[in-house]
Amino acid sequence: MYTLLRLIQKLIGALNSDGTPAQVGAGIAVGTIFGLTPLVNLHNLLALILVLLFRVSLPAVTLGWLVSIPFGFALDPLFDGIGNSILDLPVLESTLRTITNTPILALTNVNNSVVLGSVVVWIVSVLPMYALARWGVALYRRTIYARVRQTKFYRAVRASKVYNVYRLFRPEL
Amino acid sequence: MITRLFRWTAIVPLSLLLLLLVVLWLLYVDRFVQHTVEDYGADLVGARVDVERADLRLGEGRVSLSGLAVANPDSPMRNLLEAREVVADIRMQPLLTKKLVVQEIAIRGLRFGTERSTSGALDPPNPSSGRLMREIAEWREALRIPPLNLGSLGKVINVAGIAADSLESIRLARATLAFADSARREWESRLVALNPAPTIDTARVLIDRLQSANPLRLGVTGTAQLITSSRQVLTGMTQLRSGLAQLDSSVQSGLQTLGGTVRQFDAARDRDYRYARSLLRLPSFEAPDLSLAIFGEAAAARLTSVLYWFRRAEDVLPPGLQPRRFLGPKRARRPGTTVTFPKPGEYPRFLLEQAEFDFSLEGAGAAAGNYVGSLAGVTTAPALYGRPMVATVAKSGGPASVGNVTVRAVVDHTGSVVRDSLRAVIERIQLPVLTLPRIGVQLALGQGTNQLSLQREAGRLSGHWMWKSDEISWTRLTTGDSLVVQGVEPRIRDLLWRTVSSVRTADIDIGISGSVSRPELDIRSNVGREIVQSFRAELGREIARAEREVRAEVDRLVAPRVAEVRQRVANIEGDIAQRIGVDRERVAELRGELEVALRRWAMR
Repeated sequence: MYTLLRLIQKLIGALNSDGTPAQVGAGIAVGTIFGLTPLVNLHNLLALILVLLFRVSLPAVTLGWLVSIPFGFALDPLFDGIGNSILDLPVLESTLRTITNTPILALTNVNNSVVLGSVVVWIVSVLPMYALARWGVALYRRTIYARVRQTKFYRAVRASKVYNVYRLFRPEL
Repeated sequence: MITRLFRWTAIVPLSLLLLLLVVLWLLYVDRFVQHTVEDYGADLVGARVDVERADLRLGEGRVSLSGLAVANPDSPMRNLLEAREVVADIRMQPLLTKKLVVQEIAIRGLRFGTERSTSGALDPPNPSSGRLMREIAEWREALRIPPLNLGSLGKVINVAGIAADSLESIRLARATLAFADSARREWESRLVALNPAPTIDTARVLIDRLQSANPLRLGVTGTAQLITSSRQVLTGMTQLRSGLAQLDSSVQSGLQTLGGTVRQFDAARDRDYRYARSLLRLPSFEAPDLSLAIFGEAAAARLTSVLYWFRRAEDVLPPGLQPRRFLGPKRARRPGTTVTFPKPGEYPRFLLEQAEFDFSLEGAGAAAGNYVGSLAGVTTAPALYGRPMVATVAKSGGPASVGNVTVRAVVDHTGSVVRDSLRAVIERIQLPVLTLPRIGVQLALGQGTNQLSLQREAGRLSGHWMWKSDEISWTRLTTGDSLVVQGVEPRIRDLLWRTVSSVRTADIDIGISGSVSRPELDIRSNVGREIVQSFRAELGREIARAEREVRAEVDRLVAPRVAEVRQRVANIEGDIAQRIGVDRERVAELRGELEVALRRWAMR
């Protein structure tokens, strides 16, 4: 119950008031990397460190992650195809040979078709996603949020104790 | 700006998170190693590899595995090998490039062929090993093992099965008759068209006139008419002579063709004898053929696992430095394809530099004793390592009665041409029990020498597998297990049993040659030779009688048709050819007489 409540808090908070639309948009865009690409990989650890260190909205990261998980599974065949195509490019063979034989870099698993394909798709789409999310959040706050914040449910969630814990990670406005 | 960009308050939670990751690593690394070994091993072997417990000590660069069990891909309810403990010293630096380099490995408590409580088959099966298994099964299906048919021996020979239509001589006779009839019709119509009789009669009349005619009495007009008539007759005779010559040439050519066809009848009849004999399925009683017929299936069954490992070695230890593709790691998401890019001067994805092991086979059996073995250069990229894989096993001690054991395998995939060799000599080992349904017996080879020598160069395979024993025993198969009893007389079965059961030693040599994917077998054995000799002595007369009956039946069917063909050809020769010859002679004769008569008449 506690976890569920906290999750709802995060998601609502992300959309509503925690952080600027740019921070929320960046959080959503970066968060999608956890859902679109296979989770247990070095690039995701790097992404986690970056989102913790930089002032992006963590609830938005969670939102981006959760929303993108089904897309990740659904798009796996596409990622596989793109990754295989890239891995087969003769022009990249030398680069891939170097990466996969360099300490630490080899742990990134870029020689796996799904990892490589999904990371490439994410890199290509991160800026459009950021712009779209930023615009969407701003629009939401201007239109829907004004009405949602008047509901009893929203006030109940905002008044709960766990909200204080969550605030530790809330980006400053 | 930096202050606004960074979330300094996250440093502590981030540190805690990283600490948590380290703790999780320490807690689960052993399980990770265990699963990695199981997954890699299964990929390598093509069957399940189970590890009870793994222990990774990064500080010491050491991995210990307990309870390692490697299932046999050929027989999933048995283990290929089982080891109580495996301790490996690994190089740490290659781990940062996801490479496992094992410097040394020590294996203790090694056992072979132990039974499993669960199946060791992979689900889903490894695509590569599954493909290999299918190809080898297809090879076994398609292997040409000659039949050993004893069913017709001792029986009344049923010659009714020889159909006239299936005999080549009959077909040839029909075709020849058709040709002869058609040619005869054509020649006769051409002869009728030439119609030599009027021309010949006219010539005769003209000759008579020339002999009796006097130019002074005929006058100018009469003489001119006689000369014109003479020219016309001469022209007609020339045309007739030319037509008859052409027709004669055509007839002679046709008769030559027919004569050639008639001469083919002897060869066609020989082929018909062989064909008819094959319908009876009499055994050939050639010793090498018989050995292949008797032992072919049993040898192929035992060769499948050897072929599997020979071909699997190429998949696991591929030559060259081309990128290699593997199925990606197991996870909730699609595994995808992982491509490795071998780089000269770097370590391969997996390398076992040196392994030493020893094991004891307990019990009172002939194989009991202590063994030592070594394994070097096992790698996923032999071209990077630059040295062939070498595996050896030898007996180091045991009861004095126990024989020598030497096994040496060299897998050289360092160059573009694959060169593998395997030589194994195992003395006084328990040899297999061979079920030989074609001769209705089971042969327990007992203790003896098992010697395997196999070489592969590129796609060609050659070698020998020999089983030698002087402690063999025979068991007669019951009716249900034996193929030989189907349609074979009891007398023949008894003879077969008496023959094989009197053989006290076995010397079986399985020759292997040809392509790696579809090798041919050539088997020689003293058992095959004994059976041949025995059957030749006992059944020689019977086989000769069967062959005589078959020949007589073929002759009965073929002879009338051949005689008919010969008669028809003789008729053509005696009739139309003779007529043409007579006409040609008469035309030539009359033309000569006409010319003489003309000369005489002109001189008057």
